[in-house]
Amino acid sequence: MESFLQSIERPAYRVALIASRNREDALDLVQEAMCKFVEKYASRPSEEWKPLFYRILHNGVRDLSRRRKVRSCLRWIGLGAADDRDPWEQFEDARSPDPEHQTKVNHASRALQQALSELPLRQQQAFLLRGWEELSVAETATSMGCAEGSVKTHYSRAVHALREKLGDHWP
Amino acid sequence: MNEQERKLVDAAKKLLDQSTADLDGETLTRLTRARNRALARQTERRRLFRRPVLLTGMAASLATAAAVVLLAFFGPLGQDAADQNFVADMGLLTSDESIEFFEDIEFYEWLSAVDGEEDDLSRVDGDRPFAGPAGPGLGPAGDGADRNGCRGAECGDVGISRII
Repeated sequence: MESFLQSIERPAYRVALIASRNREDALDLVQEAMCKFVEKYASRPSEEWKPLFYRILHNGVRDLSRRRKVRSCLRWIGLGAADDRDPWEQFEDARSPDPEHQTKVNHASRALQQALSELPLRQQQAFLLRGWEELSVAETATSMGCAEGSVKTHYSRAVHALREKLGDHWP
Repeated sequence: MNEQERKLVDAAKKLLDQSTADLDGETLTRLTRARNRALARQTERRRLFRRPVLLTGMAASLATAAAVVLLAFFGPLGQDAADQNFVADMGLLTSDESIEFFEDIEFYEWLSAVDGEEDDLSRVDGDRPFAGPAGPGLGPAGDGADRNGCRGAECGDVGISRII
């Protein structure tokens, strides 16, 4: 269990960060997902762990999105504080052996994460789970709680949308 | 998926891998802390479920709850009550008495109970000690026995025991 959590914590954090665009929220989401996963699914076969973990994480992202909508409504009627910071500036890592190269990578990475975060949540999930985490269609469907056909549709739309957003010359 | 899309996916994958590998120290520390917290919770849960007393208590509570539910729905108490109601209903439907009689049934029951008490009291009065220890000719029967056909002190005992 420990090695599984260790292997998944970084990609899970990145997925949560792209979805939430906030470092603190992303860390909270990962911690919450880990606790719930250990509590509910530790006894399940280890092959099922990854899709189940991402399912919990995505449920957390969905709940957070709902809470934010309520918060933005409150802000709109003047009951909440505004947050105008650039979300991507909160987590950019500035370490670099070659500043020029790192700047280029940072730029490409920022453009990618910006484009990913602008995708609809389902497309975002499908792309990150299928394209990045390399889950099978069936595992992705389990994670997303939908049919395998829907996964293929969301993934295809996500790839097309990213191409349009990033352009042919990216990265 | 065409070649350009495949290139895009590969490049995205590479960048995401790199961004994950380059996470800053504070984020990594907090992720490690989150992992340890989850694992500690798992250990705590295991310890909790290993306690035999707790498990026994939980099993007993579950068994009691199940027994109560079963008795409430399928048990003899519920069945008896249903049977009694059915018999009472059938008695009402098949009886020759008018419906007014059953409407006033409580009154008749009370009247019957009062009559019974009066009978018992009159029996006791007939056996009182000052009425004489049942000498010959004192009882209404005129043969040494009272109206219950009893003789002497034994009748008093019988009367009292009936009331009791």
